[in-house]
Amino acid sequence: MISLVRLEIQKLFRRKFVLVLLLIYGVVLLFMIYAGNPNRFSSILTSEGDVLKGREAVQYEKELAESYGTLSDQDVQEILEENARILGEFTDENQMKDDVHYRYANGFYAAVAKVFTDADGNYNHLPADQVYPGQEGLMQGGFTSGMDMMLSYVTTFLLFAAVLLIVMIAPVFSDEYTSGMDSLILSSRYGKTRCARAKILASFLTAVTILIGTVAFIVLVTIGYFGTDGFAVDAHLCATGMIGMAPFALPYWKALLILISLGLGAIMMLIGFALAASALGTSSFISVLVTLAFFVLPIFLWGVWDIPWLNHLLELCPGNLVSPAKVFALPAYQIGGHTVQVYQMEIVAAVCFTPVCAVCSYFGFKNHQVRS
Amino acid sequence: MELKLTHVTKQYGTKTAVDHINMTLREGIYGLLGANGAGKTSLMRLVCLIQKRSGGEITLDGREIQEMGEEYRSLLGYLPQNFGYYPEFTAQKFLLYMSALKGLNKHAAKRRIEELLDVTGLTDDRNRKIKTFSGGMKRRLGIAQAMLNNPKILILDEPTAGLDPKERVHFRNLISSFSKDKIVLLSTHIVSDIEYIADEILVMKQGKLIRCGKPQTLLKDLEGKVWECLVPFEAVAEMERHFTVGNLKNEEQGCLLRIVSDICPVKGAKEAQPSLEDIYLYDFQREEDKR
Repeated sequence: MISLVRLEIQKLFRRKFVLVLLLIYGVVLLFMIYAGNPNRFSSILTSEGDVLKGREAVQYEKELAESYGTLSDQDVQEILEENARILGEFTDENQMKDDVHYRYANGFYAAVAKVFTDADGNYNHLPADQVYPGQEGLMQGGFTSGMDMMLSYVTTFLLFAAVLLIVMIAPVFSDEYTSGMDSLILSSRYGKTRCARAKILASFLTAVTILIGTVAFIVLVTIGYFGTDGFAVDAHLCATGMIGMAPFALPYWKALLILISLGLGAIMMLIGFALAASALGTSSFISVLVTLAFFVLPIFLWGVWDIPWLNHLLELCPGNLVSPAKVFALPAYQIGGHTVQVYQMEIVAAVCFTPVCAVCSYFGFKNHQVRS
Repeated sequence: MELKLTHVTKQYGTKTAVDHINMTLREGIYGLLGANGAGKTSLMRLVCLIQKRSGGEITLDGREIQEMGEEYRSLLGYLPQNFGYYPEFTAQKFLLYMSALKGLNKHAAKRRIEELLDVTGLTDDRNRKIKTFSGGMKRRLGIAQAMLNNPKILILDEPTAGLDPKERVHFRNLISSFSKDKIVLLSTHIVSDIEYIADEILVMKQGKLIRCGKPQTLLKDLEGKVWECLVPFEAVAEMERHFTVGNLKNEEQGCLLRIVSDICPVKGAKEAQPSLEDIYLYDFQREEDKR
């Protein structure tokens, strides 16, 4: 069985198209990681009006953020006033108007302003638990730029990985049908049993390895760049808006785990679906197409019709990987007096859906009738 | 060992590809003859369990092969008509993959692969990618994979397609030497492939088994139905319209025709010794003319 799994994994990587996609994936990953290195960190304005760039800017922002810790109303007010003072004293008005970057003196101030200002940039005078229902007590502030980059890269590459894996995995069974290998495989001793299992196992192992490899690489490189500062900071400060309006306390480390779990769940669902489409379909092209449709269509169909059960079903589809903010913003389910968040339901859906698809693909291949 | 087919039927929609076939195969080489579309490939797929029967049963020593599952497939070697392969795999890698599918352990597989690469003349090409192989080499690789597990039942669907005459002779000898204590079912429409090695000939037509027996018996059936006659050149076209002409040879005095016919085709025609090719022509020529 082990040798069959090994050979099936090798087969996954033998197609030139897959190798090209993997190469592009790797190059884009390296490029983005390079682009995020601290030497290229955006310029900031110090309280004295000095412009700092790169590592100096990172160091300044970290020290500034650490000096606050939890954000009291007084802290928030002080931060907003200080931001206004620096910009007023050291930048000209035209620059402020035209360049978004110059609306905030540094990333930390930008993150705080995002939460505690209204659309016009004025202090909303709201406590954190009113901005984010479910927030317990004061918001934990800190250096967020590193964690923002980590979350943003993890989400982006989970999306790329999903597409890459669809193209890799969807032909697993259907390629055997089109190449004529199905006759040899299904007439061999283990073709209908161990081989089918090996194909499924090899697909999931490959997917998990690519995912974990990518996520681990991004996390380790980001920690290497910015340290672990920000892990305990409240992720609602996330400047990219990725966390959106999560109605519960959410430190960055938890946000990262949720995003990874969501991504893993979504990709497992996609792999399961791709395998079933591959085993039950007739060609690789069709199985890739059907799986891509399963990935993309629910994103566009959600909310089109006012049918609650349909929208709930679409919420649980892997397309939500594209928009974690939407997942956090959706109202939680009330099941038996318990509140279950949408992301939790998505993970449950993945845990239920994936094995069903895997079983369908197993029997689909086992009972395949050779035609060509 | 006895592989028994009872009323085996395969239907695709309204078309009956295999029509209530009954036969019993024991150790030996069986040549399955038939025109394209006669149902040979469908029958072989049913025996290999890669298509579901519409009816009937196939048993090995009294046990239904469907129920035997892995146990049955471990006895099976199969070379399909359209032999699939992985273009990016080398011959060795491909055979290793097939060995894993057939449940051979690593050491046994390596030893067996060495033997078969040698037997099929692919030793020097073992590390070449299959996509660089000629048609004949691919066919030889197909034969090698079918023999990997030293099968007790070997099913070969058009195994000599794409082989040159020398390779065909080599292949015949290979099958012959391999067939001891095994059931070998070999389909072809190249009569010479089985003429010398088949213990029994099975002839299929429109899904039905129309002849079955030892070559000598079948040849005896055709005695008095094969004729040779010398006709003027201008009469050849007329003769071809009315009779199945197996051979045509120009001579000084006219054209020497070999005709398969129930009746004497022309005055002065002499009875000739029938061959397996004549059987094939007798059963199929008219049908192919109709097409």
